[in-house]
Amino acid sequence: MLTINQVFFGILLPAIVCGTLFVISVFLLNRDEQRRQFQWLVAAALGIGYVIGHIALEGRPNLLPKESIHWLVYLTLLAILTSTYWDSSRWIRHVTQLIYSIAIPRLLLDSYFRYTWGPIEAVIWWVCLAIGIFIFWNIVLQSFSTLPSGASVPFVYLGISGGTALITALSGTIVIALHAGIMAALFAAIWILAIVLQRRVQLTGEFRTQVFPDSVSPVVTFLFVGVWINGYFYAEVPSISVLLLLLAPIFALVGRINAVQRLGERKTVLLQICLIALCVSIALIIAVIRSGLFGENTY
Amino acid sequence: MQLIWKRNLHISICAILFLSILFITFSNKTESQDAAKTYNIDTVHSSVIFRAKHMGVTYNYGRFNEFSGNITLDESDTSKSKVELVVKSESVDTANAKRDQHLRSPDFFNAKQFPVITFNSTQVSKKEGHENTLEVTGDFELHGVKKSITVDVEITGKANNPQAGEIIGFLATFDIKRSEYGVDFGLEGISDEIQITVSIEAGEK
Repeated sequence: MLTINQVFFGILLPAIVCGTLFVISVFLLNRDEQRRQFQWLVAAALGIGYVIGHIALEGRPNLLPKESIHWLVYLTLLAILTSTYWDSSRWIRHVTQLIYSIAIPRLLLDSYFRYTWGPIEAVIWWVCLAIGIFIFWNIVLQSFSTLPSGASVPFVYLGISGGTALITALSGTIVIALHAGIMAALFAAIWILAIVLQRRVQLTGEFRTQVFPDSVSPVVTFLFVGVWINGYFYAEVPSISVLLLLLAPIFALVGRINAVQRLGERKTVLLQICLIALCVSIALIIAVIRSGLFGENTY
Repeated sequence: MQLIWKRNLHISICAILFLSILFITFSNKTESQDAAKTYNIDTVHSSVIFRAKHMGVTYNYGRFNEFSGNITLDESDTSKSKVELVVKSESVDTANAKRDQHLRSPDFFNAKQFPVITFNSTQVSKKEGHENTLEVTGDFELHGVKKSITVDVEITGKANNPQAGEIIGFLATFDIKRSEYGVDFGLEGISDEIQITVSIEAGEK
């Protein structure tokens, strides 16, 4: 049961902080000469919002996290730091992606490495997960530029994080579902503000073409990967649901197909969103069936 | 002549003293080795159960089906006794599969991340005024948090089992606050205080 304090500090306050920082970043980015300099502020808006929500739910994190989910605070802070130098060089970006893709599974799955997996099994899982994270990170990057600017990017990620929250809750863990809930609240705040800003502000610069700069991708990737790894390995989120959630943003790339582009901008974005929604819905239906929600075995 | 006799006497006394010390040390050692007996927990005839209050109304009971451990008991010198207990958190059983799944999840035991609950004694003494009760202090680790607790352990009986040799029974009941171990989900509905009862039958190794 959620207390009023948890709802306010865990969901509303992060959304308010995230929204405020997002509006500030949009106005700063809108000033032509400084627009690149403040790109990291969008990542900071999401990241700081999540950190506030995390602390509200879990309390102050230990210096060395005991539970896997507690690593998300440190990973988010690292993601904000990464966003500050994201545009510096292509090589630095790729090396950064590689290092994080390798490090994240080791940090989040420490107990599996210690107690569950044998050496060969551990290496196989580690390699597969590192490749999976690397691919997902690039899918996220592609989705930012492929989906039309404005409300569609945060809306898509609101759908995926909302779906993740429901699926993890159905799979028997409310705590991890609440972390996905924080993410959904943050994307919802940005989605609403993006709609309002598009109507009220004459947008210029990069924000006009891409609401989430590429430097936001570390925060989005770390948060989703962190929640999914925790859901799959420590709770009982069905593997097919996790795979479908992981692959959902890939459907944004259909917007690059010439035949689809010929449909026009409105129909293209509708198709992109429908395909992503279908993917998340199937993941959700599988989780509902697996949960036995409508069966006799409830408590 | 008198000098040689005196020297021989001196050597003899030294030899007797040395042998006496050796004998005393050796015999004490043998006695203490005989007194300390190590027992293996017989999981078939033992139980680890717990209870929690639901909505402040009624006690719900659960058990752990998989555990193991050893007890070393030295009745002549209880300070040399030892207790080691390892419980698999994954084996929690409350007679409801969905509830068990939830208890294993990160909301409660987080069984995949913290697969075992352990107790290792650090000090054992006889409880004053109680013939068959030991006061056992040790490190109790749950959900990755280790805390020192003191538990009264009653020796409930001893017998000679023709199949298993000497067997001994222990009973311990103690309370913990789960929030102190970082298990703080749903405190509004499920009590913070958890009573744990360990009933052990152990056979001599």
